[in-house]
Amino acid sequence: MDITVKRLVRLVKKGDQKAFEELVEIYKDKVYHIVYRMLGNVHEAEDIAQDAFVRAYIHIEKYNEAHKFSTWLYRIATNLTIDRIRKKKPDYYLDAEVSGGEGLTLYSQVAVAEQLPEEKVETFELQERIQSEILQLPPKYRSAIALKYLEELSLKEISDILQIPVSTVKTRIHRGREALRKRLKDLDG
Amino acid sequence: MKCDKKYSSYMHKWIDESIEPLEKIDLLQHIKACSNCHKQFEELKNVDRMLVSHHSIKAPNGFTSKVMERLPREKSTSKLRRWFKHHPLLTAAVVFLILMSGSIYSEWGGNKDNPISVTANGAQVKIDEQSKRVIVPEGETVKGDLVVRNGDVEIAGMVEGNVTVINGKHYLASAGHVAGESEEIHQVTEWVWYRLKEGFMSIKNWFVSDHD
Ligand SMILES: [Zn+2]
Repeated sequence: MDITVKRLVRLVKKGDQKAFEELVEIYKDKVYHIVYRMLGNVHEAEDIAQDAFVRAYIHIEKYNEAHKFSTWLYRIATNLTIDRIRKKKPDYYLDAEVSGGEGLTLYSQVAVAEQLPEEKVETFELQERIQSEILQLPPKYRSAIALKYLEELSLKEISDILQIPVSTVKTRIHRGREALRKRLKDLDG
Repeated sequence: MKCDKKYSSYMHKWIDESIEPLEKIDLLQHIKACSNCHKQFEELKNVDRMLVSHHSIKAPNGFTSKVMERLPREKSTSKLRRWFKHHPLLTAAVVFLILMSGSIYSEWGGNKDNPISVTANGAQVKIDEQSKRVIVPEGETVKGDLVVRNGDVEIAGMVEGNVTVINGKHYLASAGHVAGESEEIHQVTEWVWYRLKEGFMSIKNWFVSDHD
């Protein structure tokens, strides 16, 4: 693991909040990305991503340094997100999708804020479309897809994060992607 | 005509770059002949491309500071312990100065006959010599720390800072409120620690600005 991260974690274990602040800076975009991909709502995503960091801080003693810190952190984030998805009432769920046009999704927010050229707006619309299709997938497929497309995460790392066998990770990614293909047939991105 | 399921699996393996050379050849030959699978493969690669282009997903502004605000407050003792660890020489100097002052043990006394002493930042507190008790009455506010030595303390009013009771107990009435931390010191070892902290704070202030 990255030496800087290792050093920072040791300091956090001794109660150093400054060191934790640096860890948040390093991982905030990735954690937010996972949560946003799975939830599709900027407010909720920010809330859960913050929560993931707060929990990581409180339970830092439980983190085992034999594993990558990011694996442990992403696991907290995905578990919290799956919990949130399960707790959602179905009607609220529907609301979140319908109100996508009111600035709850990331792409609509960015598009409004930056006054993008047409081409880019189209890309954003496409991203928004695929994001809304991700939200139609069962949570276990969402987490596999979110992690797979996060960065250069290996299947082994994804299996460590989700605590499922590599073969199951593969199946979930394949099924998730297959479902997305069927839903996005009409697009020629 | 329904195609063999293996081709769909090969497509995903191709995208994940985990396909075997022979499987690759098999798939290529099949999609040359089968327009359905050819189309499916193109769609799948398209989905993959769209999932990859996630460039704009970044945490919102101010994210880090919001997380930091939500963390439980760092205990002042753990801050201090950290400071000790980082500055062992200064720590040794402080311990030396305090011990050299020689008064630390006699000051402790640990004897109930010692007179009550109170530091209350000018607030009107009642001292009951008979029951060896200091009372912060209801409606009274101590605008800062409250330190009571050789007596118990009962708080019915407010304390805006920390409460420290040395050689005594601390009671909080239901109406009372302490904004800071409260601490009872019963042992001479705790007393040494407390003096160390006290003496240290003042010495630390000579050397460093409050960066930590
Ligand atoms: Zn075919």
